[in-house]
Amino acid sequence: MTLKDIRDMLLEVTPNSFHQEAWQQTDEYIVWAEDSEADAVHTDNQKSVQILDVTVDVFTKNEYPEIIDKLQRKFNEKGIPWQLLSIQYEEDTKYTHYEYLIQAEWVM
Amino acid sequence: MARLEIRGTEELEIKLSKLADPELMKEVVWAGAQPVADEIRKGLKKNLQGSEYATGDLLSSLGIAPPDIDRNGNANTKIGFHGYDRKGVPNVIKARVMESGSSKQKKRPFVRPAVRRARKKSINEMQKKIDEITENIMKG
Repeated sequence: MTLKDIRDMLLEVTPNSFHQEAWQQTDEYIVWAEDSEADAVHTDNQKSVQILDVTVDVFTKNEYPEIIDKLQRKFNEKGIPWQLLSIQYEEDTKYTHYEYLIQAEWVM
Repeated sequence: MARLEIRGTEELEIKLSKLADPELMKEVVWAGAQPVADEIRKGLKKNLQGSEYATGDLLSSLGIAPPDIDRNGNANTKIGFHGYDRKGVPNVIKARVMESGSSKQKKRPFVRPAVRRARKKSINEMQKKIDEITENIMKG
């Protein structure tokens, strides 16, 4: 799955999905960003496959949020390896922050 | 009937039993933690570069806990941030917000990528330490 595929998939979960940065957009939104190389395959002295770590951060003011069910189902449907890294509650803003790690392929 | 008797294995037995000392594994874990901490420090420095708010408190709070042996006999250590900055904010919270971001601050992960980068080096350093310890004990 490429970065563009991830963008499209997240927009299906919520139109309030943003790449790289967004601050307190609505009561519920997603920010996603690629941050480093997770793995790579080299063939004929060239990098032929590059896998990127991508974080997907969900900010929600809802309790037991449906967006989380929807997102996790979507990860499974698309066959994306995913991991919930942390859940943090921001006392000052009342957002609950779900942090996921997924992987994308950079097409060479 | 043929009989085989092996003598002089007591010394080897003693040496091998010394190798089983879990205390030695603390040294191994300590050696493996160094490159991980170095990579985290590097990532943190990069994040702080050019920041007008950086005081150096977070950087200097990064440390490796003395390795310990858990109830299963495994040696463990932790790399983390201790204490508070000059404004009384826990350094671990600052590190967490930088790593994960918040609804008010963009994330700048520096721990997870560093751990990934340092993985191979950390394993190599631990192997080197095991070899060194084994050699010293076997030499007597």
